[in-house]
Amino acid sequence: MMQQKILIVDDAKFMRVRCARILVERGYSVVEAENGIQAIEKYQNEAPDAVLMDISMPEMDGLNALRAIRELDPAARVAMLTAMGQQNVVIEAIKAGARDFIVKPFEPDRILKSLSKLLM
Amino acid sequence: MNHYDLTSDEAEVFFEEANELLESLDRDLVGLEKSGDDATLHRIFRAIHTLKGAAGSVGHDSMALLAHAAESLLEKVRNHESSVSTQMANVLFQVVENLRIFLDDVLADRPAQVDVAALIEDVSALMGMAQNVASDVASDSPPDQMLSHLPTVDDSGFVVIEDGLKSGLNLLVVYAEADMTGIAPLARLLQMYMHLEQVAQIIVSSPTGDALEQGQGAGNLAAVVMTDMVRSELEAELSNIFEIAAFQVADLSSAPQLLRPQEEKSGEVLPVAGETTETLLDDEQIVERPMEAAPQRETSPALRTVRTSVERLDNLMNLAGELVTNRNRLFNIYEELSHLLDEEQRTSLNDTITHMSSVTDQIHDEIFKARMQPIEFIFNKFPRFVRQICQEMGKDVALVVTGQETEVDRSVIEQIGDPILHLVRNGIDHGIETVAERLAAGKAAQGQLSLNARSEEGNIVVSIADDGRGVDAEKVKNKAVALGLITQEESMQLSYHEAIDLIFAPGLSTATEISGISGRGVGMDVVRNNVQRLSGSVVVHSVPGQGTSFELRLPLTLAIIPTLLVEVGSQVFALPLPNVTEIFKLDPATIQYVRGRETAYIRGGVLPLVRLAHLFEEDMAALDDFTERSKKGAEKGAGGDEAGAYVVSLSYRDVQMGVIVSRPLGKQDVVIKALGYPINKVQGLTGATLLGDGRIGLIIDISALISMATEANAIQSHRLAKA
Amino acid sequence: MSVNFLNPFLNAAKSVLAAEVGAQVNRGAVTLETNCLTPQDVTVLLSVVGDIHGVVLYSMDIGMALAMVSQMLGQEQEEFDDLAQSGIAELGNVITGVVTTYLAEAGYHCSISVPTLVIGRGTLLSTLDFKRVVVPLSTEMGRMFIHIALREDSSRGLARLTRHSM
Repeated sequence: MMQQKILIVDDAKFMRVRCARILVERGYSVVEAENGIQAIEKYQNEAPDAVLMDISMPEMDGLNALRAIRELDPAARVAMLTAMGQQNVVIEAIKAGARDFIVKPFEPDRILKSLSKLLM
Repeated sequence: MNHYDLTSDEAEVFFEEANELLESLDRDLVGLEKSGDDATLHRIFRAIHTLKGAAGSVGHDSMALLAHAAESLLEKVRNHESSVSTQMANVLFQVVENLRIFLDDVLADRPAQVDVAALIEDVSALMGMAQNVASDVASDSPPDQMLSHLPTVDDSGFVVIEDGLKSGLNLLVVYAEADMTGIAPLARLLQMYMHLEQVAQIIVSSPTGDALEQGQGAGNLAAVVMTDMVRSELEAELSNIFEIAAFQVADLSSAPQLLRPQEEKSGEVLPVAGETTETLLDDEQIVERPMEAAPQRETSPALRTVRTSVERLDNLMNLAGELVTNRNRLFNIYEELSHLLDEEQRTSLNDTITHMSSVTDQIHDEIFKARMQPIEFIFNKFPRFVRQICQEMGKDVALVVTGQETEVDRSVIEQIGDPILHLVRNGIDHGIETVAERLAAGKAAQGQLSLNARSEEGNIVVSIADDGRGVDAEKVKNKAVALGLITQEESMQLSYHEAIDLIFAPGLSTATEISGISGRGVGMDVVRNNVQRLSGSVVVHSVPGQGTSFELRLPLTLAIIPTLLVEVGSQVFALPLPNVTEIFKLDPATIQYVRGRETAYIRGGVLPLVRLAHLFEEDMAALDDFTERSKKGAEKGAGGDEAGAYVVSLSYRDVQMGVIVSRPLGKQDVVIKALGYPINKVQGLTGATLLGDGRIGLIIDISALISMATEANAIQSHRLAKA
Repeated sequence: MSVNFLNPFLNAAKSVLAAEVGAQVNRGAVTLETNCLTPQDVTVLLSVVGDIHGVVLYSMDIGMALAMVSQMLGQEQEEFDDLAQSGIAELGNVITGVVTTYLAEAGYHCSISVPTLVIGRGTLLSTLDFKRVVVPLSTEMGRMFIHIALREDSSRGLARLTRHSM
């Protein structure tokens, strides 16, 4: 079976490393981006199966990147992964087409579950 | 709410309605036992049925199970397969009692505390049924849950439904509950709504998509949709959404009439398709919406009323209170400015302020009235209590309730129940004799206890009177002497009335029984202390051989109190006016130190003095922070400037004490606001109030102030020598 | 008044540290400071903007920072390299993020800046005339000091944050 590819978007290197470690262990392949603009580029060039994306990032934030990606690919499977759990932010993200919203701190399992639902 | 599907605003409405139902049940069960007419039976049945629906919808399973069992039992009675026995009434009372506990579970947001399996068995036994009720309900409770949230569809919606059904679409109902412990649960419902939009035509949804986008809703979503998907397909489609605690999809293609508004539904004959969960029909075919619809109470006419939360009324009350203080302030400003204005300006300003003032008073009064509730809310409990107490004590007492329509502020309703309960208990326990004793004394076998309420000069007066043996003054005096409360000589000089008033002395009347009704029995001293704390009073009258009556007097509201505002440094304190006896200028020369404490000699008496600033010294920083005053001001006022200072003399029970303040500001009725953290940790304060100039006044708790002063050893309680 | 925001921070720190590094947290005595602060080895600085605005600092010594990052990564981290720096900044970010969620529930909407890291002792940090509430948190890994210098937007009334008690 082909390895499924996940795009991790976070300005914090630590988060990218940590998520990558969790995902690679489970057999996913991983590409990384540091901000929204990079995320859009990587989405086009790498055609990932799903995206895990932070919201608060320099250059372009996650909500705008989400909207751009959904415009490029209305079927894009994106889960937001952020420290900001306020209801209005979550609603914004859901309206923009986020399929899941994970709030930090999280258990590794939560991400894995989210991906397996996303990729169904 | 973690354990139950209920947001806090829903919770308020839920409790209020459930309480009303439970109280009507108490009343009706007493009536059922006596007469048992069909109307009463029907009301009981409806109440239990509604509670079952409510329990199901918040997810309290054992409450739903118990209500279901009771409902089945009542069904038998209604079909004349069974009749009401004392045993059955007892079991039903127990059911109601347990439902009350369950309500507390939901209120406290804790898992079910009581195992009702045995009680459910009792109920089943009464039905003469060997069948296990529990397993019976388990299978039909999920649709019950959905039923209680079933949306209704209007005529235009039905046109769409009929067209859709003709063209082969399915009519599906989706009901989902968000995981309220998750992050932003309403967003998940929005996600489900958006997903539904993509795969189906939404006829109606509650809440609407717009509301969900605004973050409004109560944690569940009910939607009626038309789609070419079959039930299981839609279910699979929606199962991918995260943090949804529960969801169901039902196919109503063959029963669209269930979506008609309620009044149209009743009377219609609907197909009943056995016991399967698919049909979405319970045995009654009644669709209850316990969260929305006011309970149908035959006793009250259908008034044009709006339900609102107590919190909102409290806020309105506070705002109106602020209007009042600002109005007063406006008058002051007018006084100060009037010399700058010409005649015409003065008149016009004065007229405006006067008009605004009267409007302010009216607003205040109207809100005050809106907060009033009939004392019925409390009195309704008593038929059941009296019945239960009588059963426990083997007495026969008729309860006569009058004046239950008397209205009081809800702050009083919350506080008055316990004192009344203790006095009622006391009346039955100590006042009313056993049947044998009564007959021997030539009285009617059945005792009488009357409970009356009336309003009198801004007070509510509740009297609790029995026709029992009266208070034995000699017995009371002997006990008081034995306890060392009075001497033998003193006891000889007491009038009958003075003697029986001793029952309020500590230790004299402590009840020894532990009761299932009111928990640990407490003495009369506690009753009187609690009532006095609420600025009320309780007095006793008694005629030996004829009976005893207690009169409980409380202000109509506890939310507003008259105070004297004083300044200490730059901090404003509010002293409850009833406790203020005198204000005088402090003459530093009259201050004497008695055992290291400051005292003032006035009119031959000694008045212990206390400085508010010192008493709250440790908390002063927090107080200043809270009221956003500078520390400097407070210190200045606390220390020097003796010459300009005043003493406010306070009395509480028989203790007199003077507090030294910078200056009195005047009399004002203030609305008490609760204190937030950390200021609520400061001892000696009951609350705060917002003043007209935007400052915050801290309301002093006199009893706590006195004990603080005493504890701090800055003061010992002194009795002011009477001149 | 920063003290109003104490409980949201305590609760957030408690839950985040428990979840991320498995640490039990005990709070020490809270103090109110206005003078400059001399931070520990590592300080994460975040700005809060919105209905509530100001600065939050999380300060700790290097040993604690490394111990926490090691826990979070699930492997021993010996050097305070850019990965460790990013990790400790993220921890501050997550705690503050949880706080903003609590604040939003209480009706205050605010967002937080990208974290800044100040490394090294001997510097002086000042929050100018903002009063800071300083909360020491002890864990088995060491002590962390949270400095909260926040103000409510002046158009708002009394604080309503008492429900998040610890």
